[in-house]
Amino acid sequence: MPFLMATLAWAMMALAVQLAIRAPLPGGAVVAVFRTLLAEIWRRGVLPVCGASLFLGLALLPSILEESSEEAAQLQTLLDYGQVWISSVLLLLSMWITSGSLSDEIVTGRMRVLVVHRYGKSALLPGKWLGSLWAILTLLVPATAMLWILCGQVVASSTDLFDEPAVALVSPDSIEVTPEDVENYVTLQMLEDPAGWGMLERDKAYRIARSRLDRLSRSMVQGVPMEYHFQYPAGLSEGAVLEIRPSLGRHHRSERARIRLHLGGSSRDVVLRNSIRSQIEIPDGFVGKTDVVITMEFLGAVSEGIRIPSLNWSGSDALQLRVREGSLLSSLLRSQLLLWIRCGFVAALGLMVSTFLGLPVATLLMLCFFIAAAGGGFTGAFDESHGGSHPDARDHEPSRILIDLLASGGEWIVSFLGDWSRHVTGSRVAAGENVKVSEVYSGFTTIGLIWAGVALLLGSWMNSRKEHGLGVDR
Amino acid sequence: MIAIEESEIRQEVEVIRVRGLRKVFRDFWLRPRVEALREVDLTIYSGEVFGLLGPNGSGKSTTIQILLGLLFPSKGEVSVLGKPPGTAEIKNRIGYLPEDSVFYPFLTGWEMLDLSASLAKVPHSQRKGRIGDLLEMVGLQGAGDREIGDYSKGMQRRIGIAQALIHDPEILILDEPTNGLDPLGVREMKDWIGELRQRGKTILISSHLLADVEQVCDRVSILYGGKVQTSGSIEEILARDDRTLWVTSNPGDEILAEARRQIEKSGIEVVSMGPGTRSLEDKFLETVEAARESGEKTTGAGIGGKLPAFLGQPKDLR
Repeated sequence: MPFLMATLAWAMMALAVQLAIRAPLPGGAVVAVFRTLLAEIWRRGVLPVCGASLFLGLALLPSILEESSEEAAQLQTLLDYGQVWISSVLLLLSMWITSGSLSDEIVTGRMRVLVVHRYGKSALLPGKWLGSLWAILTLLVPATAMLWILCGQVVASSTDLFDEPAVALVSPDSIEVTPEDVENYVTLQMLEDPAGWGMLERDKAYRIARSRLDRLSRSMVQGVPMEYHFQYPAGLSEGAVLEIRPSLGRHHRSERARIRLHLGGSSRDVVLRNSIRSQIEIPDGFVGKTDVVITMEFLGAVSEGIRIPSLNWSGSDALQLRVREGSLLSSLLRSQLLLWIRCGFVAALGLMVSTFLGLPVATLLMLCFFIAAAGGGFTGAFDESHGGSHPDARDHEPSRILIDLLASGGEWIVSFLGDWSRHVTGSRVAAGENVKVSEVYSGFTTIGLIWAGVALLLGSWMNSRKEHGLGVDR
Repeated sequence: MIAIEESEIRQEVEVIRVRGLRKVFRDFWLRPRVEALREVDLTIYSGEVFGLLGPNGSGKSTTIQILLGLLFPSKGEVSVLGKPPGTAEIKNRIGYLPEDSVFYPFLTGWEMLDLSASLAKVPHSQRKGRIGDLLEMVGLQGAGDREIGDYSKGMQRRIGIAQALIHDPEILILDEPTNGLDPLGVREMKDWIGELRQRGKTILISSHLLADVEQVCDRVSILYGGKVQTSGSIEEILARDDRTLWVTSNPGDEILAEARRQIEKSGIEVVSMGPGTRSLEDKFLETVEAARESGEKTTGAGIGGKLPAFLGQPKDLR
């Protein structure tokens, strides 16, 4: 069955490509270049081979599922691996078909024949970009459909899958330390202890303050109740759960701990294991509420004679509310749409670099981008930077200005890569999390319009400034 | 010979004007590497066939690429149809056949012409008709749906001339137009050039094959070392006053010997005298024509047809 699906998916892709190549589409030069790129990657075998690899890979996914595992775990595995496979193939394909595209035209001399025509230069980049977008879409749509059908096969009734809800994850406000919190804390400490905090360099004081506040906000001392505020503007729906993954410290890895929860008017004690995720149902009385306050008190280890001073929330998902929001299908579709947008940017970037680099170097550059982006841009690396630092005479030295400029550039690159990382949503969908429409909008605006637009404009400008005569021959 | 008296065809309208053209190729660090052109002056008039001759590296291709806007001049004045080369308006009035057949090998002949027509903004309604006409003209009507990668070199050359004409340009720049063509193709190419000239097109040819240039060009310039060494009409350049050529019907050996004696008696040196021979080109064409008439099949290019009507009507130049 999966292999039959793979064959059908491949045929769908082939049909969509052939339609675009042969159908009497209206349009001028851009459409002609679009068709030429599709004809090139189809007839050279790039698209047929990529499609076959993609769909066969998906067809093999059910074989990695453990028979004994639960339905939900199988679903998560399928979605996780399936989306990783689809995104890997499509991103590499976007890079491959574009990063050598223009340099190939230059090396073969075809560029001369193209640009002597009236719209040769202006239509080249947009046409190739649209062609690569269509090529990606012809693979993405059947691959997503195939993945969904495969998921349906592991769920007891495939109709249930359409009703499968997704969840929104809500973190408590108090667990995140804001720059304002740090600022207030430092100001207070300086007033209270001018001989100690007042003597510290401002950067160092901020670093220490942040570290302390982080530790405080992420820990519960035994016997001290803590209030956690969860804001969810849409209002809680039925079936919301509080998800807890406590960290008891490395000395108490195998211990269990008790926590007292105050939810609304009721309170209950729960036993938690170190680093194991537990879910606690939120009573129906909270349905529709936008502000949920949960008070928790750490009661210590279950075993007598063991003393655990505090419990910590380690990681952003250690304490969160899971609220039903949207459906798994819509979340998957939005995630795939974001993938298509990211592929569009990769294609634009590939075209831009291919105006001045050959395929091997352009590919290397693109791979560097992927590796850097996969690291999430190391977001947070510059969190401790502050605008209001002390005036420093060295600020006016050229070397200092240059270093600051380079640092700003670095910060911009980190934030740029962070944006990319934030829009990689495959694993979130696999975990059942809802990908919001607002994320698609933001991905479309940032990656699809601004980044891809800038890359295409820059590429077109460089191409228009370039001599396409004897350059390579000489 | 197709060439006609220069004064008869020229209407003194300058189509291409080059003055003091200089082109220096620079390396990555912008240091001068090669001085390809040095003070080149050229004038090409409307409706003439102009030949650009010269050995390898003499600057022919560089000149052509500057006229097409593919290279930017380092110094000098270049105007095509009164405007700087490379502008969108000028591009649409020039057709270009590159030296090498550098077309997409995975596109069919039809698709390649459609791409060229689209890039040149030929109206959608006219494309199909023009492509069909041009494929017929270049003898590829039976191979339009085959991929160019499967074409022979000569067939690729033919598709090249078709793509250069798809937008009915006023100026045609042909770089080594007979490169890779069989004698039949060469003959057809010369015929097309002649017909295009009759229809008022201005044609610039760059070629190594001097005999071909001699047959089709009205005027030529010979480049060497990036400079125009000589320039003028074919008659002016080739005229020599120390030789005379007589061509008569076959008078028979006796009369021939008598004629030779009489001429030599007058003190005139007879350099060569003997029975006339046909050219190898004529013999080749005759043989191929005979094979075609006998119904021999071929997968190659067919017989080229006449120029399509959209390329204009023949003008009475006399």
